[in-house]
Amino acid sequence: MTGRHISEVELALATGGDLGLARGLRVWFHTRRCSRCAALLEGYAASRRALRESAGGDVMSPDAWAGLSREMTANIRLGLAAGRIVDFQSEARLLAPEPAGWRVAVVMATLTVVLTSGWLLRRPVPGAAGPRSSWAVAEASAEGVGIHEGQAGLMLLGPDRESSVMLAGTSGGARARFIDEQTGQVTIHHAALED
Amino acid sequence: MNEAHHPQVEGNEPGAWDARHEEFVQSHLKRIFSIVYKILGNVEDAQDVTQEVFIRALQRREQLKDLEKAAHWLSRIASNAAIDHLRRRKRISWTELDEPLQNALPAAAEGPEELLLRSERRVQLQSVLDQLTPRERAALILRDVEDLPAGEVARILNCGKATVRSHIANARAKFKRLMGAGI
Ligand SMILES: [Zn+2]
Repeated sequence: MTGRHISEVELALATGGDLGLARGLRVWFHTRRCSRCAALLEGYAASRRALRESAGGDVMSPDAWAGLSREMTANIRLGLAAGRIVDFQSEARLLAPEPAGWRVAVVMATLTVVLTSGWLLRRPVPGAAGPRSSWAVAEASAEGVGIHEGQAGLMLLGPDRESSVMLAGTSGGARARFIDEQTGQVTIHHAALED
Repeated sequence: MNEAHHPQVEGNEPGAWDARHEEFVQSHLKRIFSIVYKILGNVEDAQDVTQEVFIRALQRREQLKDLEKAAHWLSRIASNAAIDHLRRRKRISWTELDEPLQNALPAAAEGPEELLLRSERRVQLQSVLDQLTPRERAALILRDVEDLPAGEVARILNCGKATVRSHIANARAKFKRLMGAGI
């Protein structure tokens, strides 16, 4: 052992090489002679390895990722299109006289529709724990939001096609936000899939 | 020449989906989702945050002109969005993690025992990470899992190098202690 022990903070930083050259060398020299600090340092190294083992690597299997990636890309595309509608409306408002009470007249009405019927969600797959092979789709379109699978489905129609903002997401859900240009009222429809 | 590689960038109206948007999303989606997921520990939330981040990124076309800068910028806004989300959520429901991850685990190379072990490790990992502050957690993931240099983590988290080193040290110490305690 040489002089004072290395502090826990320095040991923790030394584990990932985050201590800088001079202090790093000091830790290195010290732990070659001090079994206590060497053991602590090894403890940090083991804990870091465990973290990397548990959290590292791919989050999903290729199949699961392919499905999620497709869903997210579609939603991003939809969100981008929705943003264009909002931008267009903002520009229109800048040019037009501001409707009285617009800022205070925003009323949120939320309607949540939960569909629980199993046949709609997925076909029975014997003993399967894998990814869905058949998809029910929560969809946001210019008309509104809805859920459908094949020919069967349900759609909540929005009051005003032109001012709707659609967002599909949150694993099997779709939201549509409709803005009444005259009153400023915002209506949110949320269609969700549940197992 | 940039225009030769990405002929549609300048010509399209803002927000219109084009080949470069598609390429940009496909190039970064997995990396960004992975970072966000590891910070949040929840597939559904990670999906929401990731989508939001990309929509914001694509709405600012000027950010996409330099792809390397765009990659850094994406990491930064994604990590910060994840931290904000953690703060808002305060309490994370880790039980939601299990089901999507069961499906998500790589199946081909691992047998049932390995899968179970890995799944248990993930659950333990999430409950340990849950004990860290959002910034400690993000710093630990970015530095030790994503292998970003400490300086880059500091830039992403919008703080000084000394602060980020303090987050990293605290996070490593807490993680070691809690993993040792078998939480
Ligand atoms: Zn010592």
